[in-house]
Amino acid sequence: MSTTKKPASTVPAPDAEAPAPGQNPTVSRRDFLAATAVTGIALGAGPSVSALAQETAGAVPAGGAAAQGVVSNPLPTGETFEMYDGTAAGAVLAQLRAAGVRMLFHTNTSGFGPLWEAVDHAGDVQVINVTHEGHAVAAAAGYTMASRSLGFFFGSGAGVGNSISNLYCAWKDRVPLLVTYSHGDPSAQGKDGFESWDDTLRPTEPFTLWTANLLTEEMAEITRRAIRFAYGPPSGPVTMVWGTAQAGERVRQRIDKIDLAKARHQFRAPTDAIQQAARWLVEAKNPVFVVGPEVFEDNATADLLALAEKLSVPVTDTEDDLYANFPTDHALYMGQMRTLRGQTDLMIGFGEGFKRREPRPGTPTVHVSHDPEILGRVYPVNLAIASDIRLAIRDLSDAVDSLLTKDRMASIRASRLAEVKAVTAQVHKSMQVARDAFFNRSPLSWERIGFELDRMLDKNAVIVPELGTQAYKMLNQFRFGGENKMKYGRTIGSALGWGVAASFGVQLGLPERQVVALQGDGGFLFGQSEALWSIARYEAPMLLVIMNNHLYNETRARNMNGGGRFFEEGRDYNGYLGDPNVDFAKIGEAYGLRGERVRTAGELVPALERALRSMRDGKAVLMDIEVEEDGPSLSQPTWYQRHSIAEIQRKSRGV
Amino acid sequence: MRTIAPVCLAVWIVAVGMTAGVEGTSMQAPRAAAAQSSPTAATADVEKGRAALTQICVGCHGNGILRMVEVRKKSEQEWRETVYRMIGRGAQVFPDEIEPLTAYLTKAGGQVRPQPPGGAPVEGGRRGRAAAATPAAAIGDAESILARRCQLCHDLTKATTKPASAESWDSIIDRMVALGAAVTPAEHQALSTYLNQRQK
Repeated sequence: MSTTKKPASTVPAPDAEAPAPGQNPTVSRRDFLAATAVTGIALGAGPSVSALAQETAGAVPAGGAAAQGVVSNPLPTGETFEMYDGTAAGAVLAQLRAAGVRMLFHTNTSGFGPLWEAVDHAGDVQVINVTHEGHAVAAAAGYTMASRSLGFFFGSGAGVGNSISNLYCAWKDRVPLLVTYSHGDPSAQGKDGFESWDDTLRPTEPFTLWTANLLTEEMAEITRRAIRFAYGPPSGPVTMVWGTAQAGERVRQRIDKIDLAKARHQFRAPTDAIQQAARWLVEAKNPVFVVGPEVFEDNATADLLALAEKLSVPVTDTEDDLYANFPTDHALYMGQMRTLRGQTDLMIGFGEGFKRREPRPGTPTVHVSHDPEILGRVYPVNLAIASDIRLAIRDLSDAVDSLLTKDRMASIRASRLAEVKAVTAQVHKSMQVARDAFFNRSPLSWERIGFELDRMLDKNAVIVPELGTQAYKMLNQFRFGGENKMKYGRTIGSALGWGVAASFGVQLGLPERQVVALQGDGGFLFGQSEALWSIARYEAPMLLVIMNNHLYNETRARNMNGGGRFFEEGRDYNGYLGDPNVDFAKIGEAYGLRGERVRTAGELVPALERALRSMRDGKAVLMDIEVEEDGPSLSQPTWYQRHSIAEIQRKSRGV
Repeated sequence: MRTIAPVCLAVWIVAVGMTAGVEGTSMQAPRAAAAQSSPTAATADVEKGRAALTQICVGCHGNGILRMVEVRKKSEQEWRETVYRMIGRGAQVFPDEIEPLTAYLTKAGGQVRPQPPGGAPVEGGRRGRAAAATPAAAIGDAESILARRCQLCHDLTKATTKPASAESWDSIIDRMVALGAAVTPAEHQALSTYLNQRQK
């Protein structure tokens, strides 16, 4: 292996980040790495994680001296706050507005008069009413994921239980949220009084990074602190109660300016760790990148693409692919890690938690995450690197540059790209054969629906799936990532009842894009229809597709996988949903949406054309599509354990 | 088995031909090739399929895949469609591995269904076998299928009343399928049996 003889430059790169710990701030990491490679100086131990935690983006003024390569004024100006005079509730809103928050989510309750007045006075804040606390939290989460703003919910303390399911999903998805409830006054403790129990927020604790009481004299400060907790890393929900606050009382409080884009701590990896990973990467014959949600969260998708292309490293993701982190139509995209075939001698995980399955046992693994708590926790890895993902990728890229000549890099890139392309071309050909096999079949195949949606929707449409593993047959037909379509979900939490409201939140966050929710009939029946009320109220011209096979297909398939008595008898207690046979299109129409029903393959394209026209006209569409079953076919597919109260009553009447 | 196998093969070839015509699939050539292959080639295919299974399928299904295959008992065409579905889900099966994998799965988890009374033996999965073994359940099942599939377009009283023409129920159901009725082959059989008995 050869190394470049790149001289250390005295001029930092235009895109240089904050100086690395222990370095002269006038020398960039790129130059530092180049210099150490040239001089052969052994790279000593980097700073500890605790030291790194102090090196935040927030410690360096935005666009400040370090970024410009001149240390003329290393101190910030200090003018980062202003004083607020008004109601206590208004102080919370003022702190949110100082963070750029302009949209709040609410579910019906009383007791928020002062906050409504503050909203009205501000004049630039939109409150989105959602008819159920759980849907409101999901909508806030979808909005946060899509807009990169901060979801803020206020509703009833009696609705804590309603909100928990999607609070859990937001926690699993590491979505920063502030979820606040009325109630929670400690003076109610021990009384089992009206709508109260001891410690209102205790049920939320497993799914929150912090819980707090909003106190009259510290409303803005507690809100600021809550934002700090919510962004981490790791990020996640914070819950608060208004119970003891005198929301209408006059207060004078400090309001801090907050840049949400920098609210999550951005820290760098130790130099020696990056250098070690870079050496392994250039030495590996068959390296693979495994990418996860932190790539998108840290705005690292473009950097990841550049690094992968630099050495033609195949890229995979996992079942926890919450976002489209890499273009799925790229020659280097190899699908999910678990489906990867062939030999690998190095896996580098970027922002993937490695929670579900071990990255190829026996394969050397580097784990890069901005969440120090997850590094190497579920499975042991050879090298754990705590870092902001974008900074880690950039540093790794620079380190690779310092280790390889341009000719050597080009040689690796070309030969490996040819090998990878040969595999991906074969896989794509097989996928086309498989899709064609079911193309005209009715009930429709998942592949056909995905294919037509990808073809007919806008190139940059946004897909929000909430489906079982059958979804991959559909989702693999889409071109996601890069300049293609975007994807949010399925929530890693997998608690059904998330997708309709979450997709509405995504549409709020991306109002100029086509947003499509993909639902199963079973998932939709998890109490999601009420979210259509908000979609209609706020004229969100979305498409909601119900993949209807009258079945909890995923559950049936899993229950039958191992055989057994019910498998042999061809019946199952749980799966069948077709009695009653719900007319989902009519549900959509009841909320004022356009309803469409697709029963045969030939009906799909005309129905989609009508739907797209409706969406352009500003009206959302609910499309109920009859789709195929999957998994083991049963002799009694519609069997269920019958029970009729009407029959009991008839018998009691002697009829 | 010696007497049944050639008949099964013939039925399968007819079924494949019909299916291919309906689907317009590009897999007609590989299927024909598989049907005409020599025993040696078939053995090699099975071995290639076994290798593909251990290399590809265990990635998601783990080592329990063999147990799953053994339990499922599907026909060759059903296994082929399973391979297609797994490819759709992301299984990285190459085009030249589809038929070998199908051959191996059929060998490891295939089944020849017992000959029904008075009828020709049919290759098929567990669904039909269980339906034949439980006639009472089959009647209930057929009624459910009627409610689920036919009631979408028809009043059930009308749907279960045979027209005066000489057209058979089989033919009527075929016509409905051609018009888009989402009836699977097993449901077709259950409906036909039920409606014929009801007419007597």
